[in-house]
Amino acid sequence: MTSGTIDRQQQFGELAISLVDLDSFEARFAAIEAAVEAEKN
Amino acid sequence: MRANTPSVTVIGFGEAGSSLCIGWNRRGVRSFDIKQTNPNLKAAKCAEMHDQGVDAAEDIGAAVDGADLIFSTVTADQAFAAASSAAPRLKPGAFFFDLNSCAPSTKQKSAAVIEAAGGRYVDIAVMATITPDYHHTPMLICGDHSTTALAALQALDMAPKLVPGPVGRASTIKMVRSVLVKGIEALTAECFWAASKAGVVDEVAASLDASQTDMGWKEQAHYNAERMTTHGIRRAAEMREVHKTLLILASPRT
Repeated sequence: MTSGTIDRQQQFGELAISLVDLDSFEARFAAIEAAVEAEKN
Repeated sequence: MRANTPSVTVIGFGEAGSSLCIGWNRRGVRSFDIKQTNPNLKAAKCAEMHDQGVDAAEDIGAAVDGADLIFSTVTADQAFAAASSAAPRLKPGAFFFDLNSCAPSTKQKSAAVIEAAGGRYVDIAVMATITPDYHHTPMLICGDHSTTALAALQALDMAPKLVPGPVGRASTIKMVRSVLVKGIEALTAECFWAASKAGVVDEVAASLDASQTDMGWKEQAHYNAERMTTHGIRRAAEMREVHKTLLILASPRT
């Protein structure tokens, strides 16, 4: 298990977003991408 | 050999290179492998080529000299070096098929060298283990020359799938896929090595078997994304404990 894999798990958890109501793969990953971008800015 | 029969060269005669030659079952293929530069390994490597009806070239220049179709099947870390060494001796218009599992940026660097030398560079991604199906193994090809390259490969009884886009597109698909393929391979080994050390192989295997789903990968990723964003922080904490466990299992027993 690499530190990069653990860090990715931590990063997704720290995004503090809920994907429960997003039904499609595309919507979930778009939400993740938006949250990652928002964190950068 | 007939004048219109393309001459074929394979750079790198390891598992991939030799598998292509077995699949083609074609006389007159030339090859050069870096092991030929080691006096202790040269004879065995040349014998291996000879056994498959492949002509061993003295060096990479001699291997590519006059060849119409060149297949580079070295190792990922040697792919650019192989392209650079081959470039000065390329026949104008020769196809250089780069089958190595490299980052797209490495393939683009190699393409620049081959194209500058007058060759035609084609990015090929080998998408499965090559030994069961040899030259029929699923492959992707892309780049400016892929349409004409496809015809040349079909003439060798190969059936790669054309991926629209520049050099690097096929290898991008391969590299991203390898996050899972090679990652799971390594994680499986890590998990069962630790299970073996701890004497819990059957219990871990049974628990994993019970957790198996029939989800496709996209569906699994969709599901996992929700689990990670909801529980990622505590799951990361658990993973750090897993890491500690692995370190303890790896340390010498006192």
